[in-house]
Amino acid sequence: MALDEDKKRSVHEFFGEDPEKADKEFFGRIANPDRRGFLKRTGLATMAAMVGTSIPFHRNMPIGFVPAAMAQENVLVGKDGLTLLNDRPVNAETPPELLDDAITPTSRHFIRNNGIPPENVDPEAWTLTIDGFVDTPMELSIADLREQFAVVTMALALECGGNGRAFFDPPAKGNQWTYGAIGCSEWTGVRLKDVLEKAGVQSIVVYTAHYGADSHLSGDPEKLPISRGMPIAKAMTDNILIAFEMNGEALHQMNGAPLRLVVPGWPGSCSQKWLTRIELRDQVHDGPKMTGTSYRVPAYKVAAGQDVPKEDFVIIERMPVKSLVTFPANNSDIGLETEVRGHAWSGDRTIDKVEISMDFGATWMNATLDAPVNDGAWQNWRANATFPQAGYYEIWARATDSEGVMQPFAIDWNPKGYLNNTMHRVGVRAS
Amino acid sequence: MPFAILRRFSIVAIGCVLAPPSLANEDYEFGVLFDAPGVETTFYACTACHSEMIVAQQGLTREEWDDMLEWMVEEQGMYEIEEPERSEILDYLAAHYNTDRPNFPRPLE
Repeated sequence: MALDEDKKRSVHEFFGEDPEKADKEFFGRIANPDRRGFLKRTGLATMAAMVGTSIPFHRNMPIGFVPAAMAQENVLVGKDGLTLLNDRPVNAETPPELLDDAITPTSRHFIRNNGIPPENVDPEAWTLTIDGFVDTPMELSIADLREQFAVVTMALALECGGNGRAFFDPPAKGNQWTYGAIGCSEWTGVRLKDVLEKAGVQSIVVYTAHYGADSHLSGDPEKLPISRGMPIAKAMTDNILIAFEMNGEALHQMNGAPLRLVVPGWPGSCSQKWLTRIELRDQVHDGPKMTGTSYRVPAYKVAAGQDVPKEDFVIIERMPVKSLVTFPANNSDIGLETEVRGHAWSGDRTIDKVEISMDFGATWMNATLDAPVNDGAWQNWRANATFPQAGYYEIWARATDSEGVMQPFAIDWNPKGYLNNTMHRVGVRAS
Repeated sequence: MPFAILRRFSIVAIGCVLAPPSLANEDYEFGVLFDAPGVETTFYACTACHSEMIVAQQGLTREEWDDMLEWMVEEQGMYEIEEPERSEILDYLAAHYNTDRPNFPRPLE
């Protein structure tokens, strides 16, 4: 059923020849509100016109199947091994064993989109507006940012607020992320704090509001897919970047090229992609996905499935303590002795301890834990595990942060499926 | 539980294409949605704005699906779906994408 290698190559060639046209035609197609009419008309001629060339292997290509295949190849260009949860808007996560690097390669960094990415992402033409309650509103090009402010590179951990949602019972609405909506890449940019200080933050400011160039799924140009913000005190911390490079290269299109915020340790949605404007407000921001129950949890503990009145929800700030086992992979065969390794993080805090268990949590041993390479980075850890005899084992990991808070065993259920920081379990067959 | 889920990661990956519900039927037009009465109406209503992949990930009661459609009309710019299509869609979703997740793309055990 999958495209064979030759057919995959032909689609790749198409994108290789004129990726801009391919993008435009793909995104133009999905913006068409009359998708039904489009699909009903879709035949070989339409498809050939759409791709702008003939399709040598068209006989092998089931009609109605090709656009989905193109969409997938298109949306995950430059990514390697990610699990695609949704192709419009694009959402893709990374299997834990592919997050083994100390610094997450761009190809392995998850994608969480709320809308349709902008088509025109020319870094030369891009501008960022700083306005609202500032002394001097500014409009800055990326070149201005580089020239006027200190350019810094930091490893920063970004995690989607809904990472781990798939394990909620009853299920919670939204993308069913499992483990891999987390990454810690090296981001290069200027400090948000420096830019805001230059603009002059007025004393009445309480919150930031972030705006991006992506468009709403409905196609309505008046609607924003997402516009979130953070308390001004958080915005003025040292580890928040307005970033234009990821791992030493231009940002990946699906990770916000050419400009984005990177707010480590808080829900990824604070880190606006395709960033065009930061407004300083004298009230808590009320943009799309700031209000209602979006990125919010009940102010108190609730039972699984409990109905919670909207007014009892509070905005999520820092992400909780968590760890991931990135080696060995789940469901793998290993020897009786193995290194076990992974990462641990806790928003606005550091990790004090990572422990692993090979006997379903009966006994625990400390892993060797590295300091974060900088404020806002995750921490790498490793341990040597020895299994007493051949058989099935589970490796469990649990982190404890600098405030003494440890990962729980069971999910702290909440209606929208956020903040699942339960221990990661990896099953192996040792022999 | 997580162990079982991870084993299924490999079925959907970059470079592959999504397998429709019925591998035998290459002409299946409704993406990853479960093939049953109501699928066509549901597919076209949903995919006017977003992929059916997000639909197939959900496990909701009929009432929650109803609320979801209302939310899309009130806040997300969807036009009102007329009857009998609206009920047809709700019946389909409540039957095949309910909280027991009979068709979850990566089933939980």
